Parts: sequence; C-alpha cells; structure tokens
Amino acid sequence: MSIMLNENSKIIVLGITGKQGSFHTKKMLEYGSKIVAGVTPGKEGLEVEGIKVFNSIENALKVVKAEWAISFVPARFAKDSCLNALKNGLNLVVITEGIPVLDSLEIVEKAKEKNLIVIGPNCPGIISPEKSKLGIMPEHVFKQGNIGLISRSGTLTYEIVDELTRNGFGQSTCIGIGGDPVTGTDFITCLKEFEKDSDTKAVIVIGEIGGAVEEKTAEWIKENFSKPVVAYIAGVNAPEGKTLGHAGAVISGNKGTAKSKITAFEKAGVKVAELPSKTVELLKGLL
Amino acid sequence: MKLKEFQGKQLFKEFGISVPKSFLVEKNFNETLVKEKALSLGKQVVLKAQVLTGGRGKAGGVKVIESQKVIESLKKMLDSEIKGFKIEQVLVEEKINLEKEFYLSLTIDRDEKNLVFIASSKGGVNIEETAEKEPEKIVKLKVGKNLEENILEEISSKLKLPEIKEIAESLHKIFFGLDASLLEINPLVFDGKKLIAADAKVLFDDNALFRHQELLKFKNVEEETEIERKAKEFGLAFVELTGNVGVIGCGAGLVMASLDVLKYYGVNPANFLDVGGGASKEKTIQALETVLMKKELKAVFVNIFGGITRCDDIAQGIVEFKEKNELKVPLIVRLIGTNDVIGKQVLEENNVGCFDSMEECARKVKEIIG
Repeated sequence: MSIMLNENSKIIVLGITGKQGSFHTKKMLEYGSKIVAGVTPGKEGLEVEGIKVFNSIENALKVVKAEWAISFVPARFAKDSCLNALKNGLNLVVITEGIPVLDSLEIVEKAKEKNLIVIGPNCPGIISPEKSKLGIMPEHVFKQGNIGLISRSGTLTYEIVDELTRNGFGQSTCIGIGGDPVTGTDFITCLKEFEKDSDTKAVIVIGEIGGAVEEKTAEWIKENFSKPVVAYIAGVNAPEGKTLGHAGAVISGNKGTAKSKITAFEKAGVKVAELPSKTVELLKGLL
Repeated sequence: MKLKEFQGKQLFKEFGISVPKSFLVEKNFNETLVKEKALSLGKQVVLKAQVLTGGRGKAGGVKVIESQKVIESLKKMLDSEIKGFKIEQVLVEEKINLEKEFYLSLTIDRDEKNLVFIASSKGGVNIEETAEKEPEKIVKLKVGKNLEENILEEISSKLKLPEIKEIAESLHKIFFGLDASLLEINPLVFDGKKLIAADAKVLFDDNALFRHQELLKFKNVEEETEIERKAKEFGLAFVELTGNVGVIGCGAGLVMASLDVLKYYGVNPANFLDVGGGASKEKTIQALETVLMKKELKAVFVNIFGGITRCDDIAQGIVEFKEKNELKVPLIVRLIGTNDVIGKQVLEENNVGCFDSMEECARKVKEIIG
C-alpha cells in the first residue's frame, strides 16, 4: 500500500510549459503518474508531452477530474496559483523554492481551512514507488516495499533511500516535506497516515537544524506511534545564526540545534543514526 | 536580512514609533561637531556599537558616558571589536529615563505556523530567560493579517499599558508591509511620559526582497564574508566555516550531512556550498572558484547525488576548471545518480579521484591530509 498518493491519483501540473514543469512532466509520465492536465496562463490549447494545457485550473477542471496539483510556478507568483489550487479542492505539492514566508503561511492556512494536503514548499515531492511519482526525485533509486520515509531534505532522501534499496528494504511512500521554515505537511501528519497503513512496517525520519518540529514529533511518537522509527539529523556541526541552504535550516541562539533534536528523539525511543548509511544498520536491528 | 540598531530605529521612526534622539558616528569624525551634538543631547549620552551580533551589552558595546568625554570614548570604541566584528559605527543617543521597561516583539512561530505577538512586563532581559524563570509574565498571542482590536486590547490590559496598542499596530504594519521575519523591541521603555523603543532588532525575509527593492538600502556588507559575497554573486548558497577542506554538494541536506561525515572522520570543513539541483557545468566551475578562494585549503570534497542534477555536467565542469586553472589541492569526488557512468568516465580520464560513497571519500580525505 501507500499513503496519500497511489496509482490512481490524478494530477494537474501548474507551470507545465516552463523548463522545470515540462521536464518533470515527462519524467512523471514515464513513471506512470496519471497527469491529466497542465496549467499555464495564456497557453491554453498547447500540449506538453501529450498533456493538454489550460489557462486556469477552473478551465482544466471543466474537462478533467483531479485530486492533486503540483506547482512549478516561480516564487513571486506562487501564492496566487497555490491558493487557487486549494480553492478548487486540489491537494498540493509545491516544488518551488524561495516563496516568502508570509505567502507560505497563507497557503498553509488555506489548506487547513479546506482540509487539504499541502506538501512543501521547497520540496522534492512525494513518491509511492512503482505506483506514482508526484515530484522531481530520481525514480531509479526507489523500490516498492515496507519502509515509510519522511524528510526535510530532498537529496538526503535519495541518499538514504539508495542505501535502503541496496539492502533490500523497499519503500511504501516517501515524502519530502521541504526545507522552508513554514511547511504544509509535517512529520506528524505523515506518521498518522503511516500508522494506519498496514504495509508500512517502519519509518525513517530525516530532520535537520532549525525550528522545533523534530522535538514536537518525538513527543508525539512516544505517545502515538506503534511502529519502529529510525532518524537521521543533518547539521550536527552547523554554526549558530547561519542559514545552511534551506531557509529553515538555521540555529537561532540555542534553539534548533541538531543536538536538541537527537536528544528528543532518543528520549522518545527513536534510534538516531550517526551517519546516513547507519540508518540501515539500525533498521535491521529493529525489524 | 539583518538590520543594525540604528537602521531598525530609522524604520521604527518612519512608522511612528518613538526612538531616542541620536546621531551616528563613524571613523574620522569631526570632533567639534560631534562634541557639540553630544552636549546638546544632555550631560550624559549612551554610546552603542552598531554591530550585527547579539550580546553586545555584555561585551562592552553599550556605554553610558559623560558628554564631555565623548570624543575619547568614541575613539576607543571605534578602535575595538566585539565578538570578531569591527566596530565601524557608533550610535550616540540621549540617555532616556528608564522608568519601566517592557518587551514587545512580532515574529513567526514556525512550528505553530502563525505570526505571534510576544509581550512582557519584564523588559531589558533576555526573553528566553523570562520564559524559563517567569513564564507567567509573558503574553503570547497569535495574530493574522487582520489585526483585531481584541488582540491589542489583550496586550495592553495584560501589561496595563494602553500606549502599547499603537506600537503593536505599527509593528504589524511593518511586518506585513515589508515582509519582516522578526521585529523586536527590548526594552520598550516608558520614560514617564511615553513609550520609546530603546533598542531595535529587525530581520527581513530574504525570500521577499524581490518585492521590496527599497529595503536594499539597509543591506549591510558585514553580514557576509568576502567569499560569501562572491558566492552570492554566483547565486550559490555558501557559508564560510573554519576548517581546511572545501565542500561542494547538491542539495542543502546532503551538504550538511557531508560536513557531518567529514567531521565524523576527523576532518574540518572549510565551508558549506550547495550548487542546487540541476547544476550546470558553468555553475560547477563557479563553485570550485568560490571554494578555492579560501586560503590554506588542503583538499576539496565534491558530493553529488544526481537526481535532477546530471553527473556528466558536474564532471565536465570539474575537468574544464582543472584545464584552465592550476589545481593545487586534491579533489575527491563522489558521483552517483543521473548519468553517473558517463560522469565517472570523464573524471577517470582526467585523473580525478572518484568514489561511490560519502564515507569512502571522507576516509580518503583524512588519509590525504593526515
């Protein structure tokens, strides 16, 4: 099984005619993802990889049904496009990096109001291996299986998934929640779904410096999650006050350190790997 | 983007928040003029070092002095450093009457995913200290784009301070009007007559600067090192660190993990550099140029897990850089993912060491540098 995204999920690509939008539409289609339409204002009537382009989501929905939208719309125009997708009842994956925080807050609030899922922003997306890919991840490292994975980092996901796959551990669903300080879906939302998914036997959580989402998650896991969890936290050697790539990866004063997150997870009974490759060792020990 | 105190106060003033009377002094100032100005502010003045670091007070960056002695004190301050930051500007302020000190800030609570006003009757101390020792003295209120009267009411009644409503309103205007990420007034002083922002901490959202060109006038050059500035010109995410092994990678999390893996094997990274997804040959060259600006580098570790990034592009970039520049330090590369077979071939043909795992690379680096 899988969570949130499966082989039947129908997808609209926002910003489909752009460089990223068109490239990834091709890759998603090759993977078998059910892309039903694309949107780029002013380009209605065109086709990208055989997918019809519409001027707006409203126009697209007159012709097709969909549950998801994936946005490649540039940061300065992202808010309006995302709010519109939510207004039209679509769950959202926001790949775009560089969206102003106040805009992200509006998007996240709207999603809450409409009880819809927003994954991201500044994320690689979500993939349920061998079923559907809604994102930009390199599909060849993923394999279907029983391990769930949730991560703030895209490339670290690929790194650890590669290790998992090589060691015979396939994945049920992998979600990149993104590197921004304010994101839609967080670890807990995904863990709730993994708890219900009978095919997910264990979960890997990949965190990093900044904020307190890992600490909150650790507390929640202790009380609510029955399956084994292994974690890896990036940024153990990060200096204070400097943003490391991701807008959300910054230690403020003594808040948001990797140490604080590792301690929180360990207190909650979660095994924390010292190196990305060690996540597999720890997983073997638990299963 | 961080503002210095005097810039923050300039901004507050524009939005109707009272600030102490002051003037800014830099090196090679006109002594007669400065003494005159200081004396016109009163018998005593407060000298405040304008540096982009916290803990300034404890490090001697805030001094109350006799206006008669302002010249010598200024010369002393402008000749010193605080936590590695040279003091190049000093704000000379009137000494205000600290009848009561409060705390007020407006910031983003990223974990609760909303904006929050934090107010306290305990001003002048670190708010985290108050949160620990006297949490009941703190008011924390969620606020949205619409500033509702009842929020202002709650802050003012909890602090027994009706005048604070106006200040909170101004902060809210600044926050939403200019895309701030933090606005803090600590202490917010009641001098017997009115509320004055005795300090100003202002941070703007870098992601929103594209829609606030007017804020660029506040850009402070010292927020970044020389190499960091060069990296920014290239559009690279880069942070200078203190070690001697350069690091280049694709994806922030992977780069952070690279730093951690190096350290695990006893190697000290010299920097963080994320070329981002889909880096071109040109970007790779720029990344190498940037990293190699650091003096006394002993090696460079390149860690690429190519998803959207093509390994052959990275390899071409490395090879081209090598051909055009004398590479004085060993390059250890980890290349895996899209087009990795082609990429590895290109590197091997050009005698660049290539490995399959991060840990192997880290061990190799340690071996080389000893």
